Amino acid sequence: MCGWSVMRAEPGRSPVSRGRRSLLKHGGALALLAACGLVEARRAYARDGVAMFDATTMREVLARLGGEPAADGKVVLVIDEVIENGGMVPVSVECRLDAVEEILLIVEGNPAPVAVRFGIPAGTEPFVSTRLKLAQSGRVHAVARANGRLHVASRDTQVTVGACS
Amino acid sequence: MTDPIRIRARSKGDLTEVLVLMPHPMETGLRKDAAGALVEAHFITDVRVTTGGRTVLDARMSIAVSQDPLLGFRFRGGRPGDRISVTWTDNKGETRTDETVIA
Repeated sequence: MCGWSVMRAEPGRSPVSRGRRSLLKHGGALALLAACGLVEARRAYARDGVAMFDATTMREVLARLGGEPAADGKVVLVIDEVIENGGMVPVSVECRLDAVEEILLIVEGNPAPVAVRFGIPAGTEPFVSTRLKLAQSGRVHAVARANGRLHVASRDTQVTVGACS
Repeated sequence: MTDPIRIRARSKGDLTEVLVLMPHPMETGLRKDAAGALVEAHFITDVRVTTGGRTVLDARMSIAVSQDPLLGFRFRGGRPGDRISVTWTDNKGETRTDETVIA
């Protein structure tokens, strides 16, 4: 189930992280959950991707993506590891993939993890850069969908002063 | 009314490099003002960049995009002199469109 490092928390980091890790241990149940949500999520998603933004947990994000992203090195996510000001964090994503349809940036430590979704039309390079708010330290993920397959790159961040604090 | 969108678009061979800065408060609705009252959410939700009648980028944003959102991207097929247009819409239904010419 877990090529996606979202569910792989570092040992002893926080109760939340441990919770996520136990989720990983129960990967079978999670897979079932994802499968159940798949059809509905795809349907909702097909409209314009808006449903993604309602997700408040990583589990919901995963279900709404409608699949399991592969951490296969095809996506390159550039973000500082140590961030003093969480209010304005430069982020860029580049994909070594053809036919990328969309790129999502997901911030695990934010109340609503899905930060932004880019639709990439044919003729546009699978590259985007922007600036995000990070509420606290945690993982940031860039997910790309290409030819119906999901790919991901993840980075850990340490935020000194979070956005909104 | 918000300030104009700043757009820089440069042609480099077949590629056009675009940098867009959209002045906007991007209020999360979670922040408190000096008096301790929550500041109402006010943020851009949708951005569309077009040239010659085709969309070259669209973005759906949440409150997690920083104040004065910045977008950088590249597309093929643009030529110097082509017009490029950026439109944003926010959660209050306000909208703004600005354009420039590819250099």
